[in-house]
Amino acid sequence: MKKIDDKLKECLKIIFKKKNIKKINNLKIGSFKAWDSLNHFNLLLQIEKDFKIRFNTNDFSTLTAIKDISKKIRKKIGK
Amino acid sequence: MSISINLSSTSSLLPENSLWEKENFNVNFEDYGNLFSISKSTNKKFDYEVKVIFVADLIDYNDLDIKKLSFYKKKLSKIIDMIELQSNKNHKNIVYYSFYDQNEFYDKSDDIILLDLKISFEKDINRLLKKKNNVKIICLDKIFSKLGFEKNFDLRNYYVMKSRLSLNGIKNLSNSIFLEAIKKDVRKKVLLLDCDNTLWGGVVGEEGYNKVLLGDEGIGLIYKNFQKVIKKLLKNGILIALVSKNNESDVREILKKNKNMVIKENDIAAMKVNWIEKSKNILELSKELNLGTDSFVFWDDNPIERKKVKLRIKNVTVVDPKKNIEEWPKQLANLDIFETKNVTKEDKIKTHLYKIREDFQNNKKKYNDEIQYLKSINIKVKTHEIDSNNIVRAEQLCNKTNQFNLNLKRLNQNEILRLKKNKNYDLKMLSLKDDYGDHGLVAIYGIYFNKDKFYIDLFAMSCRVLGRYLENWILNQIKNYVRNKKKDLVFAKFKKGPRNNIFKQFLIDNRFNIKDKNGSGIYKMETSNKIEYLEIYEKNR
Repeated sequence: MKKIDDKLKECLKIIFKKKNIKKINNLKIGSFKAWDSLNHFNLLLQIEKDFKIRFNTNDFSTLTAIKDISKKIRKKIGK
Repeated sequence: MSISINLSSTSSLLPENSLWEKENFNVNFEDYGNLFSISKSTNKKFDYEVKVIFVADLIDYNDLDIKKLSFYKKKLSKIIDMIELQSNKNHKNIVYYSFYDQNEFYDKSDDIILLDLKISFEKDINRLLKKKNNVKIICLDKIFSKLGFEKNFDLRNYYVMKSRLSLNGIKNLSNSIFLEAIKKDVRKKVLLLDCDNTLWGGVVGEEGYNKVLLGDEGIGLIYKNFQKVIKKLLKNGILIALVSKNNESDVREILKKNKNMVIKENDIAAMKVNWIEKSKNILELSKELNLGTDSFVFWDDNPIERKKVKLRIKNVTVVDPKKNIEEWPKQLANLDIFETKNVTKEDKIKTHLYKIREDFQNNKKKYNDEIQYLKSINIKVKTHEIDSNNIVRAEQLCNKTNQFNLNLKRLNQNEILRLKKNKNYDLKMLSLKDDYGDHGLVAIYGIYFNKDKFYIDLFAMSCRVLGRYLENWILNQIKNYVRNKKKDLVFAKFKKGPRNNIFKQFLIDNRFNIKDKNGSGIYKMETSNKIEYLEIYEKNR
């Protein structure tokens, strides 16, 4: 669980160019100024790359919060 | 370096993605769906303008049938016309295009119509490339086909974010753009080739001229095809020189006698076939051909020789040939570092012209009195106005001359035409003939009249004809032109470049008032100054 969160944190840092992100569980689209739909898409692609998973078309419209994304990742990688 | 990217239609290339971030590059995405948006915002300055055209964005392949074919051909043709119009600017333009449609729900029996459309589009591209040398066009499908379309395109991304490409696709595209942008100053003129196991298989000194591997079958065919690619480069004005550790007589014999040789003796501009270190030979070739080693590309099958050349001459481009020689013809053909666009008459006979230069230099050495010798070779010089027949050569002289060049002013055809129309500007080109042959158009100069002063604004001469004091003759023409206008001074706008010190020396020799021997500046010469060596040209105009 912690490992997934750490990796997610890294993805967020890359996409939003943040040096420090403390808690990620409550983050969602709009939490940062640059977190618009385009960057959300970039974030999901980054997650796909780093976790070696693939979201389906529907996931892109439903997964808008980190909490849900984290859940989806766990489901996909079977943890 | 700043790059502007315009896209056809509303497709997205994920502008915020980190794949577009690279040190020293600043990538700007213009308005969506407007390939030509920069033309409106003329205050923006870019080093590179990139257009990415997904033809499937512009044409609904479902709607494509034989009746609408000509309509769509015209539609695409207009885009090429617009690119032609817009590329009149000072920056370089790269256009990427793709005909692939990952949706693929159109009727496959229409593929032949799509092919027809593609051929027509590519014909338009060729037409454009002949006119413009600041435009480069790259077929994305060629890049993508290496890894497979499925990996470069992503249908899900298209439906979610209108991004036709996958992350892989964007990575391949952005890498290609960054690579092209870095390439901007690379312009190679000479291909240096080893002989044994490079031009043919085996060692000619041991096997004999007709026993080496070279022919129409098997490995021999690979070497023959490799030579065919070399021949093509030659036709495009690239010089070929041999640098080989071999007996010269053996190499000359194979060049003369082996019927499978595509490269003939006459195709070779210079030869360094001996047992001396290749790096020494290359430096000598640089002197003989009067070209910097940075314009050389070295191809040798032997990795030790390659390493030695790399270590000793830093700016020679050393190609590492692929392990499997069957890849070589393709590798050489795709090197994409040679200057081959806009081939002029002079390019086509370049090898011949360089041979003339070699003979000239050798004979000059034999004579004790240089001027008497130059007088004896019947040099004839002719002044030319610039027109549509020679404008490509004018552009070439401005852009390719690095050594004997006053200020490295790189003008394109439109800028040259503008200067020609300017009443305060006198622009001329010169051609030269002598007993060694017709050298073609070899120099360009421009005199600019501004605020009561005459400036030499442009002066570039091909180094092939150095040693004939043609530069003195040209300076005298300029001097007389200014004197006829009742002025006592000629000004020259000198700009220092990496290799044009020879021009500065020319100004010093002709008593321009140069104080700072290192830097750029505007220097003057009195029109009463007597210019030397004009007697060479006295009888022969």
